[in-house]
Amino acid sequence: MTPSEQPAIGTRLLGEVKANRLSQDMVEEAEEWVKIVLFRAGSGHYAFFGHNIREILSGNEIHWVPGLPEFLPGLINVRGDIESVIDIQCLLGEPRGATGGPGLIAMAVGGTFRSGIMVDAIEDVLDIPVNSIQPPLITLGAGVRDLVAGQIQLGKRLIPLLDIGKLQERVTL
Amino acid sequence: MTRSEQRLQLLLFRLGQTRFGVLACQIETLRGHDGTGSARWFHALLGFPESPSYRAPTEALVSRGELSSTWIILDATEELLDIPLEAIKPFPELVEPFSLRRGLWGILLDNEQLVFIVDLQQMLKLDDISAMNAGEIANLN
Repeated sequence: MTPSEQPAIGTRLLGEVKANRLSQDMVEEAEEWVKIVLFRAGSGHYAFFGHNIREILSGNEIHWVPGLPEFLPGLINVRGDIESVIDIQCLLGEPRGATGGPGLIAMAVGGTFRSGIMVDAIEDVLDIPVNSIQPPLITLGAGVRDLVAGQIQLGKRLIPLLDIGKLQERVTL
Repeated sequence: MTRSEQRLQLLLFRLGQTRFGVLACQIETLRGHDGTGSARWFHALLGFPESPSYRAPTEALVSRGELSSTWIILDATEELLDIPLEAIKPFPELVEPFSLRRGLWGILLDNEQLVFIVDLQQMLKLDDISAMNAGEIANLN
């Protein structure tokens, strides 16, 4: 190839840039990502899969119903729909009244499950690679261990990722 | 009559801050409570942890078939509502097993407030079964 037949350097570098981007896109496509909602309940930090959280409600009055177990504090009226509310702190064994917060309710859905879940605060919504979800440590407390799908490392913190299906099993009579 | 045309007459009453409704056809008559008699308290049947203060205790005679009736003391009867069956919402799936154990079978939204619909006959039956399990004598009629 004579010098006049070689592609201009700009053209060659552009080709390399495009090739690099293509291979990067392929890597990203191969890596599955998932959205998570990070929240605080009591003094603990936990997460749900984002696809399980439909909306976050604030200021809803919880109506007490006779005969419910402690983890079901009552019902809320969501635009005319009556929804149950789960006290997740109670199930996780978090000490009550340790921190408090604005008192939010995360509307959770998944399969046949549908309920509000009391949380103290929403801390973040993140996209993480699925393969970054680690199996739960056996040292997790019994209350938490029964409810987790895995754990995620955020900085120095290990955050239990809660499984709506396991939560449903736990609270269904 | 189709399901959509079916209507219910509900007697609404309160207990503390909570509103309840009962099918009017379950109540034979109402009378004031004079502090005597063997009527059963609604809060006890419902399993309230403590006795709330009754503002206007009223005795309702609940039919339990052709042979017997039982007086129940309700509080603060409010009004008689005529509503379509469709206005009643079931309890959410997680809550329903627990509410049915107390005779609560539906919810009415009345002016954004929740009214729990109670089956007084079922409530009496459940209470009798509970009493029998506790070794007490009960009348299941």
